[in-house]
Amino acid sequence: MSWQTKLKEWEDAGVIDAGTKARVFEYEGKLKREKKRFPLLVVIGLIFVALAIMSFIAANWQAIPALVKIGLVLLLMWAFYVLADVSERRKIWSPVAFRILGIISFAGAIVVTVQTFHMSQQGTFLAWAVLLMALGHYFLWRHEAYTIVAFIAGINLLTTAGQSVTWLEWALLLAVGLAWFYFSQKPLPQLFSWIFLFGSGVLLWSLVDGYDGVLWAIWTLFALVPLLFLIKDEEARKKFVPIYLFVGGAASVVYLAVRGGTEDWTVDMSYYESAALLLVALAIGYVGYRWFKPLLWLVPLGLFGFALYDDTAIALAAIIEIVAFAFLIYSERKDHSLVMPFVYFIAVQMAIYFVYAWDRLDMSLFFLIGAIIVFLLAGIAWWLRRRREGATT
Amino acid sequence: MKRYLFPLIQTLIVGLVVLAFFAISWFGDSYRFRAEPYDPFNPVYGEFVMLQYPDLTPGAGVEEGTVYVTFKEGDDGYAVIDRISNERFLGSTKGDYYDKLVRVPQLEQYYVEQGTGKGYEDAKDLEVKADVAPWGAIRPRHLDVRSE
Repeated sequence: MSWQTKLKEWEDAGVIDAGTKARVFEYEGKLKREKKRFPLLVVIGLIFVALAIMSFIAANWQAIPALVKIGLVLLLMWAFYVLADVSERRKIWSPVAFRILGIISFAGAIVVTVQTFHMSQQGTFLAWAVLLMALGHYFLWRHEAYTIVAFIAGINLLTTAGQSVTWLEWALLLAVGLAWFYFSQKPLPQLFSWIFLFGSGVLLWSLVDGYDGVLWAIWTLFALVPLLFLIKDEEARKKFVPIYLFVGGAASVVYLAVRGGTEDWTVDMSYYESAALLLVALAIGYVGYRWFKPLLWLVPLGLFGFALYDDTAIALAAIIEIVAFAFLIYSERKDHSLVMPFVYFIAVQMAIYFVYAWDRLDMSLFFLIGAIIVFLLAGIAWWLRRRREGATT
Repeated sequence: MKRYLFPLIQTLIVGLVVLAFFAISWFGDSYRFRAEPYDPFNPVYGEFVMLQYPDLTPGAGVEEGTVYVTFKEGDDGYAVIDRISNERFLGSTKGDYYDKLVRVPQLEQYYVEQGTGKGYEDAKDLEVKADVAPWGAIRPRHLDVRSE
């Protein structure tokens, strides 16, 4: 229900008078005029329309001479930048949207060039070019919309680089990701660059010869902890920590599901790696203890190296179950938001249930008991919420 | 000039890419490759024919996986492999060797006029004229139905 309808309802019920209602309307109207937010969906829509046009033109342009074709797309690109300039000077339309169209035209020019010369589009050149240009736009104009383009190009780059990444390219990925993270110092670009760095970190493990282990997700997560110290603003730092917990939690459920669900576990593991992981986890624990308390929740991930040896996956399930329960209780006691702890708790229960019950139960019984568990968990959530509401009123 | 810095850089980048392609023809040798289509086109990226090359078969002693090749003209006028190795060497082109054939990514797709892709795919016997640079880059220039 919109707040306008709600206000009307309150006025009718005599909760507020007509004057209050009018004042709320006036205030909200002013607020809306002040923060003219950039329509994200419009940007994304524009991106797709432009891409579709580019691809359509490129497909039909075989008859036109190569250089003319490329020149026309470049002309289009320049037109967008001129329009951006005009719109900035006259304060009409949106210069940002035009510049984004400019970047997309640039990508289009490369695609047309590549197609004209019959080159395969599997290389990372296009993604690199768009990523660097979009980041350049961001650092020149400091508008977050450019980082959305950079992020899309970055993800594209990581997926195209994939298994064929070289050491040089990996070093470049890392350098760009770090620069992006350090020099932006804003939540959204930092979140994007964090995800980009995590993806780059994961690529490293296909690069290292002879590494066939499975602990790379935890290693990568741990390796990113020092990034927190690159965030200059204290408050922003604290707000960034939950990302680590989120990824750590998701990873733990995936490990449990995979380990519990795999019958013949042939993964290369070593006690040295497991021990090293535990040591690093303890170091992360120290960092958490000194500076970021919530990071202490990542320490149990250090036990995964050893827990994965267990074929029944019971040790793994036990660790995760205890952590999920403790996290839930802790968040409840500390009056923190319960959304993340509860979603994690439910995910863990479901993973454990699937791992241990799927093969042992008849299909109908499996779903019956599953439904009862979900019902019970929902009941607990309801009870917790009621208790909390009861405490505040 | 800050407002036009990026269009300028971006134009230069595209210019360099174009120049790199032309340089292949300026400094490279031309070859004719015997080709055959093997996969339907992808309409999202524009219409092209996926090509494989029946003459590009390596001799013994080469392992499947990444290979590096150079070309020479065979007795019948079509290009064959001159030298092939699993290790990179000067002037070589990177490719993949699997399923009896060497596949060179730079020769794999050829963009054709809208609506003509099917014709090439049905013709089966095709030939590609391509320039190969001394540094291994390849620029396909012409796709035609083979007349033998």
